[in-house]
Amino acid sequence: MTQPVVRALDVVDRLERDGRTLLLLEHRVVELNPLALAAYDAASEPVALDALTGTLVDRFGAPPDGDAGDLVRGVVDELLALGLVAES
Amino acid sequence: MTTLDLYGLGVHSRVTVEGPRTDELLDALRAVWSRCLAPRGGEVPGEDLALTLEGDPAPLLQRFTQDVTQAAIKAQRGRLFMFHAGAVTSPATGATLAYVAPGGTGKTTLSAVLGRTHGYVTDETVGFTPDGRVLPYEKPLSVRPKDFTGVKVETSPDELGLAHVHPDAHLRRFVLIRRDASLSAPQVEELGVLDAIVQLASESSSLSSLPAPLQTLAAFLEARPPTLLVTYAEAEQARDLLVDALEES
Repeated sequence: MTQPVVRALDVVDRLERDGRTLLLLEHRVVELNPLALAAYDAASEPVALDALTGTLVDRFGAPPDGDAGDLVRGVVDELLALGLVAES
Repeated sequence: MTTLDLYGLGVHSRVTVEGPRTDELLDALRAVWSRCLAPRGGEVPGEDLALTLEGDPAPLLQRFTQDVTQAAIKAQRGRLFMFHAGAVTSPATGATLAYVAPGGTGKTTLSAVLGRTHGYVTDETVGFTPDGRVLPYEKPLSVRPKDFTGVKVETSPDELGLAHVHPDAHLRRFVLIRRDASLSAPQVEELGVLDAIVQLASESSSLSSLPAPLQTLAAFLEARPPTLLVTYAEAEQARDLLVDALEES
């Protein structure tokens, strides 16, 4: 089965202060939690969902409960809903 | 048919007034837009608007104010920072306090209260350049008449006795306002720059059309006194606190 590929979409502007990051889209500002921000940044070049999961596990460790792949799938779904990534 | 020129938010709008009641409508427009009849200089051209009076002038004038506001915002897209806010200036210095809130939160009432002593800038949309120069928009205020039947009446800041804007209006401080009828005294909270930006962005017009808007707005806020979140029940209750927030900053 072909892996979904995730690609970050450009934002208008980005602001980082004190470990927090704001992203400005066309009509709103969003603040991402560290995991979602890492996923967004890791998808600056198109990345397969499995590879993205591996990158995030390497950085944050495996989740204490549940499956890392399911967790990252949920994060990507949130980014899709915000208009921050596209999936193909 | 005749034309009327209006100036506000740094925009020149030309209004064509038509129909058998042209004179009546022109008189009403000149009265309620009394502070927007003369240019300040440097206005950008806005949309040409047309107006014909049929029936009751009150709802027509109210809609017209909204049309002028939207046209001015459109004309300044990509040029100004613009927020849903009322604002007043210090009579001594021109330092400007902008109180930001969604519609229906009480910006007009607060403008009428603060404007008794501090120059009326606007009760709807504050526009300023990245270096903080405020472009006043001294529009009519929509106020409830004594015999309120659902239609507010456009009323000139002159008729309400509001003070005139300082000629050197420059934005000094933002306040986010919220209403809570249960409060017996206003509550104040200082916001960090990021939290302020999140709140301000939701009440901005075309923020994304400016160059590096988050970076620019952050630098702007960091160079000024902290943005305040003020929650109050009635405008009179918050007056002294807001005046202090401007004058002490």
